[in-house]
Order: sequence, then structure tokens, then C-alpha cells
Amino acid sequence: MRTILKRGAGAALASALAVSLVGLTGSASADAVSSARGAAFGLELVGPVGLEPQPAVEAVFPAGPETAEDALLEVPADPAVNSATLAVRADAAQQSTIEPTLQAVIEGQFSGAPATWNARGYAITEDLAAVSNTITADVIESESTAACIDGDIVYGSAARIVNLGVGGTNVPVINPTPNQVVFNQLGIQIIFWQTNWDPSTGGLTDDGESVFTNALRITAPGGIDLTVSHSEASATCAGRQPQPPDPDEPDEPDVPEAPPADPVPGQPTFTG
Amino acid sequence: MPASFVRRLSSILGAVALTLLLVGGLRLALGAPEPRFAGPGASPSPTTTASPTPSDEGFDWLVGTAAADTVVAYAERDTESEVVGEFPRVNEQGAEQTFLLLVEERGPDGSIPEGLGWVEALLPVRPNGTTGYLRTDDLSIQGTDYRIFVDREEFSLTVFDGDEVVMETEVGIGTGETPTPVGLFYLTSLLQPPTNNTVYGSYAYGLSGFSETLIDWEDGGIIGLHGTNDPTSVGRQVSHGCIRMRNEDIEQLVPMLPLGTPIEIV
Repeated sequence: MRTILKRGAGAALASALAVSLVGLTGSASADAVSSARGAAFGLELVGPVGLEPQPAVEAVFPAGPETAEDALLEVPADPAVNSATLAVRADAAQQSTIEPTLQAVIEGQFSGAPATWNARGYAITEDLAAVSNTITADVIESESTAACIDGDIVYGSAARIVNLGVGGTNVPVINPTPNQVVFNQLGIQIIFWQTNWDPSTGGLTDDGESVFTNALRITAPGGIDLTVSHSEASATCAGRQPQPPDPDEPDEPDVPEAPPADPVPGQPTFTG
Repeated sequence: MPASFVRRLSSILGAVALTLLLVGGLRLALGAPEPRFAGPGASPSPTTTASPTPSDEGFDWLVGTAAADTVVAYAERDTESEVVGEFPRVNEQGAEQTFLLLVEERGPDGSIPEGLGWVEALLPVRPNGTTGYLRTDDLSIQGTDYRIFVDREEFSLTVFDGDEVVMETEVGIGTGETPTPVGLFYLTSLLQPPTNNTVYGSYAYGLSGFSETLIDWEDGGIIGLHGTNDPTSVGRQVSHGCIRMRNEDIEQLVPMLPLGTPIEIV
């Protein structure tokens, strides 16, 4: 099961079929951060047949792995999610060294966005068949990024879909904007590129502290609420000029030290 | 949208709704992701030699304190696997539920790679040495360099802070019929009795280990590390399994040792 997802027929179809690819890029460089986090999952299903987010990964600076990835190649047949192959990746780094996957081919750029980032979540789903094979897509990608630029957090969000179909009919996704409802018929609603990212500023449209991107959000009769290719990212600025470590200061571990135990008044019942 | 397509879609959706009703109780049986990193080393056994988790940085030992109302320990890194134990946020002694984490893989700063999502822990249950896998989301993780080493043959107790010996003293241990168990354990509670004038003296730590002979003891026969109202019992086999210290010794430990401090008994 744990195999990096190969780019299969879905990717090959990208140039020949309807491709929607949106997001941001730019050339500014990012500062060091005091914390960063990237996370992603492939599928989450809320409804009568629930599905925990999976495969799910998280990368956290400074207290976790800088990179985490996972894949799930086969989804057991189910009325809500008939089949899909999924791969997710998360990155977090103090320095802005993370190159986004989608950025290089994204159109519609945000002028203040950096070329590399401090945190990134990325998810790709291929060969999706969902809601009793009613909804299909060849490739569904999501990427969320966060970086610190001149002391301020800048976010990015990107999504890509290839050959979305409903009931066997292609649903074109052309020049989308965030949170675009691309299908809304007979109780099925499909939102492409659901995000809290503000493309005009690189900020967020809510009070959250991280950017998220759901490449597809599908609601359907029977209480189905399916999220496909979710990513998120956040960072905390460390300041414009990171201070070099003081050689006289011992390194502070990132795990806090356990304090001495507080005595609890009471009569012990130990064996004595 | 063509009418024929709408009719076809309506038919499909009807089938979807029916199928969902039929499988309403079914959960998707997606396999849990396998651990990305190698799991912890062998579970501690009575013959295990306690050694700090190798790490150039960070603490020698990691301690998890319950951050959820209930912490569930599983046999594998899978919530569908056998439940080894369920632990409330506060244990029966009124202390924060604490676990000694058995972490072999560390991040560069000595911390647990959070992306793992799971960590193996020594559990405060019978049989001694039982381990299980806990969700890191359910824990607040801290570190310590303290550890305790008890040598029954020598009636000695040594407290280390990393490689430095910070205390070496004499202790009393269990009798031949109620021996002090051997193995790797950790401190799970610290009680201050109402009076010093009991067998427990001024303070008593509870350990994660249990007597292997006293099964029906109140609260299960938890082994203690405690003071005493009889200093002459130190240096002898006198107890029901607990480790006895002089009050002045244990009072030095109280402002020092956190819950979760490992204690190896040989």
C-alpha cells in the first residue's frame, strides 16, 4: 500500500482533456520562520458511511518531520467512494526551501508570492469514481502553501482537475475562481478549489491561522459530504533577520522539560 | 443539461440512496497507513537494561501526559486493532495519567516525529512490561533526563540526571515471599500521606509496576517508592514489594523528579 503514486493515465490525459489549473506563484523569497506546518489528506467522507481523513500526513517545524508522505493505491468499493488512488505529502522548513508542485505550471499569479515556501501540503487523487460512479475525475490536485515575507505571512492555494464528469458527461471547469460551484443539480453540489485563500492579497478570507484547499468538495443525497485532495499550510514568522545562534547558549530542546511532580495529598495504597 | 441526462442522473441517485440505506452501518475498511518509520525497539522485559533513547540532542526520555479525557492504547498502530487499555486523564491516585514513551526514532531535535501519529508506550497495567500504541494527539509530550536505577542485591538506589549521578542511597525492598519486581517501570503518581508516621513516610511515588505475588491488594498491588517511619528497615528485605527510602532521601527527590521518570529495577 505504501507506494508513491505513479502519475498514470490521468496525468497523461492532462494535455488532451479539459484541464483546470489555478493558483499563484511569484519570485519573492521568504524569511525564516519560528514554526511551520504542512498537512494533507486524500479523502474524507462525512455521512452515514464515514471515512476518516486518509491517507493523512503532517509535517511540522520545529517539532516534527520536515517531510511526510503517504499513499493509498486502492480504495475498497463503496457507494460513496467507489475507487480512487491517493497520494499526499507535507513539508515544513525553517528556511524557505520548499518548491511547490503545482506552482511551476500555474496560471493566474499573485504578485507578492514567493518562489519557495516554508510550509506546504499537497494531495493528488487519480481515477476517482464516487457517489455510485456518478462523479468521476482523472486527476484532482490540491496544494496549500505558507511563507513568511518581510515579517508577514503569505499564503498560497492551488488546485487542478482533469476531466471531471458527472453521470458520464464532462463538466468543464474553465477559469475558475476559489470556491466555484461547478455542478449543482438534483442534490449534488460540487465545489472546485474550495479554500479560505484570498487570491488578491495572499491572505485569508477568514480568521484562521492556516490556509486550506479542498480540490473538490462534493455533497450528495444520502448525507454524503466528500472532500477530495485536501491540503493546508501555516507558518509563524520568526522576524525579518533571524539571529544566529549564540554559541554560549546551550541548544534548547523543542520538547519541553517535564516539571517535578506535584504531590497529591492522600493515603497511598501501594504494597508498602 | 439535457433531459435524458437528468433522468439518467435521477435513476443513479435513486440507486445511490438505496445502496446507502443498505450499507448504513458499513464503515469503509481502508487499511490504516503503515508507520513511516521503524517502530520502537523491543518491549522492556524484566532483563532489559534501561538505557536512554540514543539522541545527540533533546531529552533522554520522553513522557506523555494524557491530553484527552481517555487515552486508548492499541496493540498496533491502528484504531481497529485490539485495545490494550483505556486510561482516564487522571489516574486512581489522583495524578495526571502519564506514560513512558518508548521512542527509537527521533527528529533532529530529539522530539518525536509528529507525523507518525502513534507512539509506543509502557503502560501502567498488569502484566508488568505491557506496552501499547497511543495516538500522539492524545498526549502532551515532555522530556526528562532523570532516571532511577535500583539494585536489589545491593539495596541501592541511584538517581541519574543524564550521565550524572545526583543521588545514591540505600533502600529497603520486598521480602522473599513478596519480592520487588524487576524490569523497567516509571513513576505514575506522587502522594503526600496525611502523616509521616506510617509505613509510607513523608512521600510515596506510585510506579507503573505491580506486585507479582499480591494480586488482591487494594488498587491492584501497585509497587511504590516511598519514605518510611522505620529507618531501620532500609537496607533489608522487609516490604511487600515496595522500595523504601529514608524520608530525607525521598524528600530530595520530590522537587526534582517528574511523573514518567523511568525506574529500572534489577
